[in-house]
Order: sequence, then structure tokens, then C-alpha cells
Amino acid sequence: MITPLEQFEIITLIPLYLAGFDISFTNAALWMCIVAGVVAIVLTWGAASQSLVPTRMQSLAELSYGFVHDMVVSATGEEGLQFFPFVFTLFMFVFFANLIGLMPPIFFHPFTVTSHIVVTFALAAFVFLAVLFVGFRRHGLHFLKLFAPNVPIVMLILLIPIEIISFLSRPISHSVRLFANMLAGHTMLNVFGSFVVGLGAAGGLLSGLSILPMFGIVAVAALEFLIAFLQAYVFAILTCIYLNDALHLHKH
Amino acid sequence: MSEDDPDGRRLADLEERLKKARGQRTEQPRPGEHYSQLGIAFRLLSELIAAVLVGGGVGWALDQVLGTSPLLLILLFLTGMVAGVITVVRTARQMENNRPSGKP
Repeated sequence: MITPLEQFEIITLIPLYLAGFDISFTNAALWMCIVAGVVAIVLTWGAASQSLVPTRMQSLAELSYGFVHDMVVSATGEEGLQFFPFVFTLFMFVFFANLIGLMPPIFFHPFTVTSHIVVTFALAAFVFLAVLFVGFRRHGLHFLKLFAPNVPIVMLILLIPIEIISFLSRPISHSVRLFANMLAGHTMLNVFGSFVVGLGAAGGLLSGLSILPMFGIVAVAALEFLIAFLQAYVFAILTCIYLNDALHLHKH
Repeated sequence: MSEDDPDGRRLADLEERLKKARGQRTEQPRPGEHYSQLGIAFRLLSELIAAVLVGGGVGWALDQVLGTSPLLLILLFLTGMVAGVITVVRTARQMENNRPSGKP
């Protein structure tokens, strides 16, 4: 029985073990390498021709660069541009992982690496650690003021645990959002697809009805393209917002 | 380089116009500020849930270590709920401030 979740299965390609840990090269690792490779190729290709009237590839590279640049400046100010390479890398990786996962499975089934919480949580944890590192290096122990809003001392006893939990929940919401969106979208596409097959095989009048979920797939696929971009964008802008907190502490 | 002169003037002119265009653009909505309703909804929802989960999780873990079950779980779960609501209100306020005109 083929389930809609079969597409997320992790298959070991090259078994590897290091000090008792299973570090096998899996299809997830393979697709991560493919994503990184495609991003590198697209950007180097785009940067190769520096004509005044850009070619398609150049335009793609320049637009994405400009888009992330504006995003970093608007969220963290000019000062935040030192993190531009970090945010740009994250954005391009997530965006291309989402897009490549949406490729139609013609010769092989594309694997969406961002549909696994391990991957998105690793990215979010990296951002979280970066925020801690930047915050403590810039402000020293003053960074802890992030947890103490300007209220009377009595209220602090109540508010500090709340602030700490709210801070700790950031990597969770950061990673779960991306992973849940990709997982739900791909599952939905698969379920609609099985409706088409099921109704088509039912025979008689029902076979004619199988055209309806077909339209559903088209609509959901269009929505998925929007979500692929939107989630990459939200992931990057939240990285900027968190880095902004580390740079300037709270200003409200 | 006398041949370079017209080009140089054109470049300076372009720079001038770019500066003017950039100056105007700071007043307009920047890319960060008009993401769709769907993105906003997902962001608020996940922040609300994540805070409750983290509060409960930390409480449960501390209970296991300190042997105070289920006191800290209950306390931190409730704290997590408060934290979730506070985070959502803060995010919503931030989004409101970032609205292009500042007024609805």
C-alpha cells in the first residue's frame, strides 16, 4: 500500500558509521548536496556575465541579491549588512530546497529536504546560536537585559521566566513553521493525486468525476509555489529580526 | 581622457537620479512589509504553539531531573501559555508598526 507519506522516507545510499553513530549518506544528504550545487551554479552563472542589460540568469542572481539586501537593511539597518552573507545563504538554500522538492517526479522522485524537521531545526538552531554569540560578543552580560523589560522589580520575578520561555521557543517556531508547511503541502498534493487514480479506477460515472481533484492538484500546486517562496522569505526575515534583537537589544 | 567625459557626466547624472529615486523609495513600503496574510497567520500560530510546547517541555524535563513532578510541569506550562500570548501580541504590534502608512 502506497501511503502519502512514502515520499518522505529516508533511504540509506552509502552506509557509514563513525564512533558508533550512523552517519550514512542518505537521499536527504544527496538532495542537500544537489540543492547547494544548483544554488552555486545558478549564482556563478548569473555573476559570470556582467552585461548592462542582464541575461535571464544574471537577472535572477541580481534580483535575489537585491531582494535579500533590501530585506536585511529594512529589518536590521545598515549595521546588519555584516550578516548579509549568512542570511543570503540561508534564504537561497531554503528557497531552492523548497523549489527543487516541487519538481514533478518524472525520472526520479525529488526529495524535499526542508520537509524534515531535523534539517529545519538544524538551520534554526544555527541561527539561535548565532544570535547568542553575536549578542554576548557585542553587549557582554548586558545582553541578558533582553530578558528584563522595564517594569518594577516585583513584576520581574513573573516576567523573566516568561521572557526566557519566549526566547527559547524561537528556534522551535522558526523550524516547525517551515517543516510543517512543506510536509502538509506535499502530503496534500499526494492525497489529491490518489483521488484522481481512485476515482478513475472506480469506473462508470465516477471516472468522469476524477477530473475534479485534477483541478484541485493544479490549484494546490500553484499555492505550493507561493508557499515555497513565502516560507523561505519568512525564514530569512525572522533570522534578520532575531539578529536585530542581538544587535540593538529591544527598543520598544 | 576627453572621450570619457560625456560618459562620466552621464554616470554622475545617473547617480543623482538614483539618489533621488532611493530617497523617494524610503517612504514607500519595503519588501519586508507586505507579506501575505497567510504568512502572518502561520507566523502567529506557530509562535503561540511553540511557546506552550517549550514551556511544557522545559517543565517536564526539570521535573524529571529534580523529582518534583508534576509541579514544575504545571507551572511552566501556564507560563508558556502567557509567554505565547505575549509573543503573539508583540509580533502583531511590530507588524502594525511596520505597516507602510502606519494607519489602517
